[in-house]
Amino acid sequence: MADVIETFGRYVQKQIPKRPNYAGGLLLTAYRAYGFALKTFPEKRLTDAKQYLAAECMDCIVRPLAHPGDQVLTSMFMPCEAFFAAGLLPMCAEQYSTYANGAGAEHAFIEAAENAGIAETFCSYHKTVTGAAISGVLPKPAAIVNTSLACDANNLTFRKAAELTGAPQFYIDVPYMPCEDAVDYVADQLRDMTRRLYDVTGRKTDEAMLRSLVQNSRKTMAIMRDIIGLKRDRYVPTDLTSELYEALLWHNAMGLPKALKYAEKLRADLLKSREKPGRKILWMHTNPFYQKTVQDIFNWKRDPWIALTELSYDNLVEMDEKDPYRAMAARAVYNYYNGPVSRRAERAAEVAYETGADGVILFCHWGCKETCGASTVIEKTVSDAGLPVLVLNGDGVDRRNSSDGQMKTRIGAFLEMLEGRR
Amino acid sequence: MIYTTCKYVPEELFSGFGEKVCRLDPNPVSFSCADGCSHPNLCGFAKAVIEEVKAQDIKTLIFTDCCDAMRRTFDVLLCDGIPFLYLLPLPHKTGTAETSFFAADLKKLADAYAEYSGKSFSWERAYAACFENVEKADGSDKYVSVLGAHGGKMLIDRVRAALPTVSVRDETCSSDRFFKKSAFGEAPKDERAFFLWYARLILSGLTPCMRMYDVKERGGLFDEERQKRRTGIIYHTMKFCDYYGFEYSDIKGRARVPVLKIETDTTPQSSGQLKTRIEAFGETLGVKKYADAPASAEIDALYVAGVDSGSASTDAVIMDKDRKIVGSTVIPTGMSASKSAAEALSLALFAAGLGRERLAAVVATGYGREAVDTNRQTVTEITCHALGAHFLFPNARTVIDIGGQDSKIIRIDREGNVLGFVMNDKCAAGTGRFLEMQARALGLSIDEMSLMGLSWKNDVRISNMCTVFAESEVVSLVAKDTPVSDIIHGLNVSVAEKTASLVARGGGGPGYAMTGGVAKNSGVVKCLSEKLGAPVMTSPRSQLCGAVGAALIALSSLEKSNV
Repeated sequence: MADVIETFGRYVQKQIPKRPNYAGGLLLTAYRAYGFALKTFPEKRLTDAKQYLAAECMDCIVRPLAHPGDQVLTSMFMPCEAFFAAGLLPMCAEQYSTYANGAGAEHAFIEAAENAGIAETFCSYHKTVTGAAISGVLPKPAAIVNTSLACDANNLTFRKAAELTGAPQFYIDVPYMPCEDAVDYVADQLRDMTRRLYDVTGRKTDEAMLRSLVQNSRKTMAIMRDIIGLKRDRYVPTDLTSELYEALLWHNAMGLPKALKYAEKLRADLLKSREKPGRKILWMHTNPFYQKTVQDIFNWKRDPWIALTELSYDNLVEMDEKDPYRAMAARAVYNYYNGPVSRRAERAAEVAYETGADGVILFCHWGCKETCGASTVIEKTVSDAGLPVLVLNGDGVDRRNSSDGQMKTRIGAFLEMLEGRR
Repeated sequence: MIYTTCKYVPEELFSGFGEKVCRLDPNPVSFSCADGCSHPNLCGFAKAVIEEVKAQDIKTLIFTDCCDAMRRTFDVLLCDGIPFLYLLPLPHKTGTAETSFFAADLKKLADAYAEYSGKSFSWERAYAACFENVEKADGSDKYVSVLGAHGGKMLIDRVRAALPTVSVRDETCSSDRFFKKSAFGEAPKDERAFFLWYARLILSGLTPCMRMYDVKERGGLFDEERQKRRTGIIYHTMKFCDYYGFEYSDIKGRARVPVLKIETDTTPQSSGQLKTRIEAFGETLGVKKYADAPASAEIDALYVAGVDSGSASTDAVIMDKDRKIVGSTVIPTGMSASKSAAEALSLALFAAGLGRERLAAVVATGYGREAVDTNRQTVTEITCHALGAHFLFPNARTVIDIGGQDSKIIRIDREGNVLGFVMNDKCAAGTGRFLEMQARALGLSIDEMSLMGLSWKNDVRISNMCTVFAESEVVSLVAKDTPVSDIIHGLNVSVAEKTASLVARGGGGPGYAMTGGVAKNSGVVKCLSEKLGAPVMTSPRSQLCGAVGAALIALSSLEKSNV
């Protein structure tokens, strides 16, 4: 399979500079085919919930790519219920880049961006999608909507994509200090955004549907909280890719029945499980799902087990569903990536305790100053809480920025250390 | 003294307390402390701030929420017990709601400082201080502009030193902090109104930096008046700051004047490379004139020499008045650039059968050009490579020079004049040194590597561009019994991709000629030609290109002085 993807990726990459529309079409066809394969021949090593998750995530990229006229290009941290309530299809930029890597085609996009003068040190999730816009592969969406959360790249990628595609851009400024005034301010911006989206797309937000979607979000989040505790003593198999799928579904599909259904299925799988987990890892930030060395260590393993990924709980905050706009705003404002890093670090220590993690791996994705800069504070806070931390440098998308040998040695030594503590 | 890190810090607010403000502009020698307590991938300025705070006894420091790196730097410094360390949230938008939000945050800062210092705040004094920072009328002189990310005084001084005869203007994000006159509006009547007025002045009166949502006002930096007066743009980016690469990408294609892109990290490192680039840029702009050559009455009987003192090799060429190369040599640059240059010159003279007294002019170029005791003139290798390439390949329009420690792309016209150039940043990826290290890992000589790279069978990818990581990738491939020729091909493709990317960045087009030591590596040349989709010319004398150019400059200046 790896060879097929590599050959396909090379072919697509050759087409990108010459025939961008054709290359975009090839990618969409590949995603469709893979989505069909996931539904027809699901990965047997995964439980029902994770098989469902993989298929639904593929749908989250295929539909907006197939219907760019309905697509809203957005970031992972944007609450999306209002788009669904207006019949629009959000497409997450980070997901676009991750799938480009999955198709073996990210390099041509990164190259296009760097050739245009974009810094080599720019986050590769954002560089890939920027490169897709520069090379003309990214279709023009109906609109581009992004928040200032959780990193600087949001201020650049979406503005550039708007300039290049000609799509209207709406920017939701999330104040740095989490507080109720900030929630009001973001809620106002969200209300205004839906009005302006109507002006440019002709799609009106169905307020009743919006309330229902936000109720779904609340129910999903309640189950997500249960899941953290259930993972303490119960094991269900996972792999690096599923961890990213889960993060995507619980961000950009939050509110949809499928996000709720997945949460219910995962809880059911956990309740059914009689297997005890081995060394449990809390994985912070994204992961290098494509890197075989890391796959070999974690995929479908009971010991060590990635019990939880930070991106599956960063938006688990209290929200009042009576006002759907305030509820969505609260998810952005109180997201643990916002504000001083102490919030994120302390939350990691709490969650690690709740899920009974044996250690924490903090993945410093190349070019992410947000997480790299936070690493020493997180390391200290979590270590002070009594848990070992491994700060692991790598790249979630760009294969050029990671070293297999170093990765293997570091993770291996860390796991040996955890074994010694048991 | 109150220290600040960003132009959006409300400096005038502290005049309301009778305090003086100083914006940090640090230039640490290294990041030994910052790399330890934060992360190496933070931007140079953020790390420099950490170094400065640790080195100086700074008691009052104000940050804004300007970027990821500064937010995290603030978090790191929180552990240091600085008596007054404050982060002021800064909106990305500048509308009414954001202005009100920012006004409230300015008031909170004033209250916090009043509580800390025990001093009282006078909004009238703060208001009056704003008028000291009103934009001033410009002069009308022509100038070279330094644009982009914070470079600080050290960078501007270096640019001025390298371009001594032109006016240089700092237009980077941290240059003079002036408010637009139009942003002042109606005077506030009380303290509450002052904070709102002041918030609006800061958000709308300063030239927006790239982190703001609406950067249309930055267009002022490119208005007609400035465009007319600018003779060149030196566009500066800061290592690991991504904001200004985007603006550079926007302007590089549409600027009406030559643009030079440089990158620094606030430390004094790489000053040699920076000097070369800026001087070469000056030569492109016609700023720096070559020094007068020595007068020589009997030019016919005399010869000239060009010496290229590079990081890996020192090359010398002896040329007669008819531009014929009569002697040349290439020797490794040893520990001393000046000794190697003297030796190369002697060997070239020996090859030509001439004595030193027959040389009427010597021009030195390359990194060690200042160390070469020619007692004559020095010219950057950019100009020399352009002329040398034009001499060796009259149809060349894009010169690709891959040397020992850097790669350059030089666009030239029909006469060999430089139209523009780009260089790789301080990283060995894609240079001769990169290939040398991989050859060493494979236990091969460079010549063996060059030959073996042509007989590959399977397309092996070397994904790492980092020299050290790539070496470990090569070692892993060897361990998996991957044929050596396939690995070499993978390395060649990797260098070709990096180079092609640089060609694209420099706007190079067909008429490609390759110079420098790596031009001898047929595997790389073939891969590069495939990647560029056009033939790449090479010559057995490719490595002498810089020295040939230097000799041509020597000859030309000799002829001028004898007209």
